[in-house]
Amino acid sequence: MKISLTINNKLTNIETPANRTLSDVLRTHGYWSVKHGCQTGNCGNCVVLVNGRAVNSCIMLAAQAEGKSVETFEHCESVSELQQLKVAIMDFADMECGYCVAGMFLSLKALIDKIPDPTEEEIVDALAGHVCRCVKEALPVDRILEAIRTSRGKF
Amino acid sequence: MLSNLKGYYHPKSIAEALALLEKNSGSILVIAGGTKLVQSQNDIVQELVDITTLPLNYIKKSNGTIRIGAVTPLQSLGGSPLLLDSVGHILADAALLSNHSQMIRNVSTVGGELVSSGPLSVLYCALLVLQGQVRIAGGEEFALPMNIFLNKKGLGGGLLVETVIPQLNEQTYSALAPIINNRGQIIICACARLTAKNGSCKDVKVAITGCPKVPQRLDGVEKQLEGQVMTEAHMSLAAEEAYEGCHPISDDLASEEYRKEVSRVVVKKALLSCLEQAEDDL
Repeated sequence: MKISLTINNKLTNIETPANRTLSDVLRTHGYWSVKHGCQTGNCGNCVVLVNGRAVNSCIMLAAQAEGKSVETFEHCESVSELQQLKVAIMDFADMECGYCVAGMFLSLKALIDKIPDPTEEEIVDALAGHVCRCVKEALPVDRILEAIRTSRGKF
Repeated sequence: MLSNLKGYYHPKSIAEALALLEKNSGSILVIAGGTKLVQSQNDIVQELVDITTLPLNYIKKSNGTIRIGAVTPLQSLGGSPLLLDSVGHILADAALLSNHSQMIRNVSTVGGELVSSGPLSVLYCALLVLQGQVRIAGGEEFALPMNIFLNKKGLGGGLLVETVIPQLNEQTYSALAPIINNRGQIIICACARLTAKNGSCKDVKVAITGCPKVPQRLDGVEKQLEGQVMTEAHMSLAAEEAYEGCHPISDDLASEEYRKEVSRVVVKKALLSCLEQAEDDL
């Protein structure tokens, strides 16, 4: 089937079988920041923004994104204002492999776009559903909050 | 994962969606958020009708009722001032408990949750005590009270279009009390709603999840508390009735015996939470 969607502000027409997930289709088209993880919506590695909301693209069919705007981590990389936040999050969060960073970053971006000055509770809620295997204990939310505050006004 | 899926439709009206469902019955399903359907090993479904394109994403007030469109995301219930004002925190809390991940709640819809959930659905349970109804579009549109809808198998080719909840009056309080394991899974949850009238409990509604098939009302608790003075002692006594009235399931999360034992604990917590709200209002 043919679907038409906007990926990172670029209108894109895609021919795909009806049963393919959005994560599969995005990776096929070179958006490698969308990671394969659990494929059940439990790890958050495949998160993208659809119409500004963070969603697990592994449990969403590409056909469901018809006519919608999809944003991946690649788009954030090209926005220089977001660099500060990304670097701050990686520095603060003691991450080693970086596999989960893209998904977490997009969830935080969706949160900050909606609530520029989030509370710790709102950050915990936004990051629930993300799994980081390097940070074995609970995610350092206080450090992430500090990173957001450090970056405030720069994105 | 939906290995035989061949067709995908984006209908522009409810009538068009119903026509598609009628024409291809047997191998066609409705999809909204699809968070459960997409990862299911369903080899029978060949076509999907996506109803997210229909104008069914809303929360609005009309004629003393709150109307929630079928494709309203669960996350929207959490942030709705209208819901908070009309029915208190109970629906927002139920939506948040439906899944710990905001990414899932952003996509999962109220209609999808009602149609596909089972015995542990907190949203079902909350709508039971709020005396919600679901409106179904078919040959003719009709409304079903939540307790009948829950025990009905399938929608007979119809389409769930909205949930209707009577607006609570100012002296009516509602609350829920869950027991959640360390993985964020709900083991059992009680929902309660009551009206304070001259210091007494009126119109008491209590329901609990974890019962076979679907959440159920606890008639014994309701009768015990109806007309009683709103005190902690009366509520604790009424909560004891939950033990007799609750016939829970055993699953990989908890045994029947455990759920039965803690049923009175969660019912008491939900009732006391209503009492707390009433005392705050005084």
